[in-house]
Amino acid sequence: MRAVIDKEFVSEATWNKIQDLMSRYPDRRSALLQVLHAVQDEKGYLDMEAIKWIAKLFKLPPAEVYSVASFYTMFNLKKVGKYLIQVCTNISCMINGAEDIVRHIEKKLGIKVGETTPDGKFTLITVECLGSCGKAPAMMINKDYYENLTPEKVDAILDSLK
Amino acid sequence: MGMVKVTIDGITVEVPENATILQAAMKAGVDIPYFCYHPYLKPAGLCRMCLVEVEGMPKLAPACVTQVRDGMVVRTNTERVKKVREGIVEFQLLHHPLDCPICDQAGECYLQDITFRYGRATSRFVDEKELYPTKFYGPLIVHEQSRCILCKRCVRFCTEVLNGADWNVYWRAAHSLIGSYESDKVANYFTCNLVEVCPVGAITSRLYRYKTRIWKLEFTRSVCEHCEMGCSLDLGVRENQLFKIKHRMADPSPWICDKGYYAFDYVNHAERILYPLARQENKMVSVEVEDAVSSIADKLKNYGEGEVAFILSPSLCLEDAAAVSSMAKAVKGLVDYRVYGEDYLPVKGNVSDIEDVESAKAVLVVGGDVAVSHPVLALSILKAKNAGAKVGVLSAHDIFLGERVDVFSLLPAGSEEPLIKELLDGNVDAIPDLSDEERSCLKDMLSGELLLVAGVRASSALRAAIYSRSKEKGWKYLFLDRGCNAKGLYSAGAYSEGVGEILNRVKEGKVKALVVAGVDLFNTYPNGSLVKEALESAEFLVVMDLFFHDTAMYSDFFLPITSFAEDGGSVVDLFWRVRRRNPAMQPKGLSRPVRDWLALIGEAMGADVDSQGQVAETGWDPLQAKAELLEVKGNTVALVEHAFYRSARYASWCSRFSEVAESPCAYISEDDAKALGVSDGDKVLVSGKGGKFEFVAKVREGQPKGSIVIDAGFDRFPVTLLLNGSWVAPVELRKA
Repeated sequence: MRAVIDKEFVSEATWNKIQDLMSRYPDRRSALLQVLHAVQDEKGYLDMEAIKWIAKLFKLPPAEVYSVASFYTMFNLKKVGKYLIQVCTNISCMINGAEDIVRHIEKKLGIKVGETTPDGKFTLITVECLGSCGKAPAMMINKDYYENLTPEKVDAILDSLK
Repeated sequence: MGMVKVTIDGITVEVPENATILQAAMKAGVDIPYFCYHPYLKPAGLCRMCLVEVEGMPKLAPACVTQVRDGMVVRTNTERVKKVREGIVEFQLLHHPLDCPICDQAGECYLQDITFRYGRATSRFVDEKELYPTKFYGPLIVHEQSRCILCKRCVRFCTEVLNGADWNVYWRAAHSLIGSYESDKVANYFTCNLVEVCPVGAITSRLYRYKTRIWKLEFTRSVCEHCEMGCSLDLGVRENQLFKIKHRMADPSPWICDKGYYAFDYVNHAERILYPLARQENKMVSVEVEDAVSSIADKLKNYGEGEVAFILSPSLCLEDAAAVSSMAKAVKGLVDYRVYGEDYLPVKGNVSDIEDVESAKAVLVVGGDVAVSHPVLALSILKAKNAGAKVGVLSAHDIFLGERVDVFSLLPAGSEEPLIKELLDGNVDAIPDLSDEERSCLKDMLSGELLLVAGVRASSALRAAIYSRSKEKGWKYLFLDRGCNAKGLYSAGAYSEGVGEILNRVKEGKVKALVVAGVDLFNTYPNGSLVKEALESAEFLVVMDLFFHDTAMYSDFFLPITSFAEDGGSVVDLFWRVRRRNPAMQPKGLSRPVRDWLALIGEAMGADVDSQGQVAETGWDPLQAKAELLEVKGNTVALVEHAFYRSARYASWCSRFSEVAESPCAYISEDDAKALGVSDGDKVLVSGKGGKFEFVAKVREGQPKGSIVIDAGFDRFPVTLLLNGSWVAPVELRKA
């Protein structure tokens, strides 16, 4: 049966990137993680529709793709804001006041950890070690690192993201 | 393969060099506990229960994944191993609810046994346990995440054996969850294997939930009655009720299908008729056995040559068939078992064992949905595929196998057979909707060694074409039949010119008395109006069955027969092997096997009824077939097929099993759906020769335009009225 895949689901650039990724490996499914990343980079998150689309592309059951996507915390399975704020609360950051940073952001944005602001701009989550213990406390917004945080510094960063 | 010597706890055994320590220990008779190891799944090394000490290795090694070496010395009885086992059990039990008193697995639970034998009496864990709610996946299985030990046996079964299914592990580590992603049902035909492989009580059968305890059941080995594979089953009986079926012997396959595992509870059904009934002024009343027998014998005696006919279920056992044949000879009557309107007889294939299927280089399935008619065979075909074979499925209807193989096309229902004939003649381009990759793969398959599997729908003309082409090319061939014992009935000579011919003669008044055994013709014969007319015009009708079904409504006498669990008959399986059943329970009420009823009737008539069945040495020669390939023209052509969960024997009386197929579906193409303005889940009306029926539309990718597939087998839903002797008919399709 000729498989019909809706190319319009992603932009042309992403589609070309996916084609390139999938041609790199002798076993097509080796590219799964990278394709998940590519789709997430465009959509911001991987919902059921995206998971099913990728499953069809790889000829895998959606359950298997979801299994992979849910194993790694870097994949967002629910809608997230334009800026995903990931604050590290692991030991080094915690000792250096990460919990205060979290509380400060919560207060500033008016949301709790795990929530998104009503305007869909910010999502706040806490994560385990970002590998930046030397410059703790640290956080990651989308793909950028912000280190040696203080409440004032966080204010400045968040304001610059308006 | 080279053999190596291994010493385990002082016992030296010789094992193949690729064996694991666990397999060597099994040979040596040393007990190593395990959860995740399964003899028919790839080793995973997940549960760490099988850690053992190996001389020269600093750390303990998992026995299930460590390969043996020559001269290896393994110890399982040391203090270090004992301590680690205690530790693993303690970890496994951290979040385990310890609800053995209400758990259905208790008594056959690995965790229970291993904890008892190798665990500590107490746990050091004092915090609150993390528990999850119970989840029901459809009417057949129930999942308790709290009891799960994450051995992934079920997930490995789905990926390794089913080649992917909607069942997996999600999230990670302590928060891992197992389940279905897409729905609250598990949608494949092999969900019972999840229950069977689960070593603990995490996945259990809903049929058995809170019913009884495993140690109260007495198990008897028998043979499944739902298809020709003849899987060996163990029937668990307590107080003459059948409670549970287990598949303990890997014969013919280590796996089993939902029909065999779940479709058994009709045996205990309250609606079973347990006493002979006779018609008295439009009412059926219970009569004494002697009276029923002597009245039937008196009646049958009065009919002349060709005036009595017997129609049998293709699932009756060999002895019953022999008795019917010999009775038919005594009264010079007609007999036939092909109640699905088949025009073919069993052909002896040149495949002698299931291993021949599993080791095939290429397999092409045509003319039927193998996963519905012979589910376990579909798993063997997948096993061949995983071993490197190319597999193709070309059929008008397919749900399970097609999407898992290399070449798959859904053919138009009306021209399925001519297209396959063209393919056999070498015209690969005749098959529609194939990608270039599939087309070249199909070409390769046809030019090399090939196993052709002809499904149950394939007509005699198509079978003849497959047969002659296979002989010419040196291919292997396997012809499937409906029912579980078609080969046995053929061997017993229980066939004449077809059930259609008998029904026509009954209608015309040439055949005056009819005996129907073990089958509801309204459910099986693809022409409901002919069945109705024939039964109405029959002068004398005797029905032998378990339930008072639609055919029995017309009967003058109803004789209760035994189910497969109460009878020790034999059946002839797909590979012409005779397989014997053992009676697992006493016959209920006054029910008795067909052969016993016929012996009584024969005695009263002064005729000798012989129930010694012999298995035929050779099969039917398909080249005798005179019929033409089945071709149906029309704007919309419908193929009627029994839905899997309605295709088991007596499915209407298997309450939970048949519940899975909620409502009859019509599989329609995307183009037709667009033209009608319907989408998935909408109602459509299918009208034809004998009536109008409402179906739930299922829009299916790859379904050809103008061709639909509709479900049969539902209660009070006689879609056979749409048909005219074959399972394909022109219909009209509308939005409801």
